[in-house]
Amino acid sequence: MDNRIKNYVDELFYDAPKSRKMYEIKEEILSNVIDKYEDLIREGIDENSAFKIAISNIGDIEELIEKNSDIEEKQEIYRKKSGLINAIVTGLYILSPVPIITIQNELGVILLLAIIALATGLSIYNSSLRPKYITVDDDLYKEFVDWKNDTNQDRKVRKEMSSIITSITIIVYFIVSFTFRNWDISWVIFLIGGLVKKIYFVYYDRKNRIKYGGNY
Amino acid sequence: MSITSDLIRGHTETIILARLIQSDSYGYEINKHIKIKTDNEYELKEATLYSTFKRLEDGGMIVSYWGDGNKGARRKYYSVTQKGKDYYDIQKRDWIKTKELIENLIY
Repeated sequence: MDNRIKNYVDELFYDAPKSRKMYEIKEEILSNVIDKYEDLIREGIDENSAFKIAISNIGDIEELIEKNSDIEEKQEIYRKKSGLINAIVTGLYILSPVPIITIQNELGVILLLAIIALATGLSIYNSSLRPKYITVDDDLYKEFVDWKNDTNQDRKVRKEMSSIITSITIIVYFIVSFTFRNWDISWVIFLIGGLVKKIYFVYYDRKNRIKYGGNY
Repeated sequence: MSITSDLIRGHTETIILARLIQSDSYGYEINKHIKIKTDNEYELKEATLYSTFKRLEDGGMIVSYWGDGNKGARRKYYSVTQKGKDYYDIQKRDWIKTKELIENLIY
């Protein structure tokens, strides 16, 4: 019989957005309806009537669902826009070496840097578009913030190391290229730089995993 | 019941706060309390109950936490804050005034 109530409430929320907030409303209503049902059974009412009385008291939940779908809609718009920007950013990063390969002089380098700057700028702009979450009072959200604060230190170190390695790569690239005038081949330094970064992060994560007892 | 519910609706917040001032409680228990106190004359709908909780919580009048419940689902408990108690006092005072006023007017 509990299942019948659960199915009924599930059905009511069938069209509701699949957010944590909606799930909590559903759980709260479900537990109240089950309480009522069990009380009615204790009073000696038969299962069928108890079920009918219990569900008849739910009322109109449409209003509750609509309020929440506004937030969902905003997030949906953001998701689409963000996906498009991410695609452009990725495309720009992939295409960035093209001027170096085709032009093969300082102009190529300038173009490469310009494209990378544009892509990075777009990426930053994209993250600033993220809608503010209204679920500040949410338990899970709090847990998430706590967790994020714990790992923030790690992320900071990662980010700093990442930009240091990138800067070093660019500096080495220019020094090598201008000294040896080997623009045709010196771009390999970027690949090496990327590789160094990857290796460093693998090493860093491994170290952390050991630090957090293997359950990172 | 249908005659009185429109008149009562505007006081849903005060009714819930009054119950929570006695002790922390959850949806069904609050509703049952209302039903017993009104001799089965009045009962809130789940949807009304929830949207009132939401309004009170957004306004900082109450806070909620999950507690142990029946086998089917967890129970969401509510607890009144100082702001909620202050609001309740104001509402109660207003009601006493309104009651006198209406009584004077309709008798």
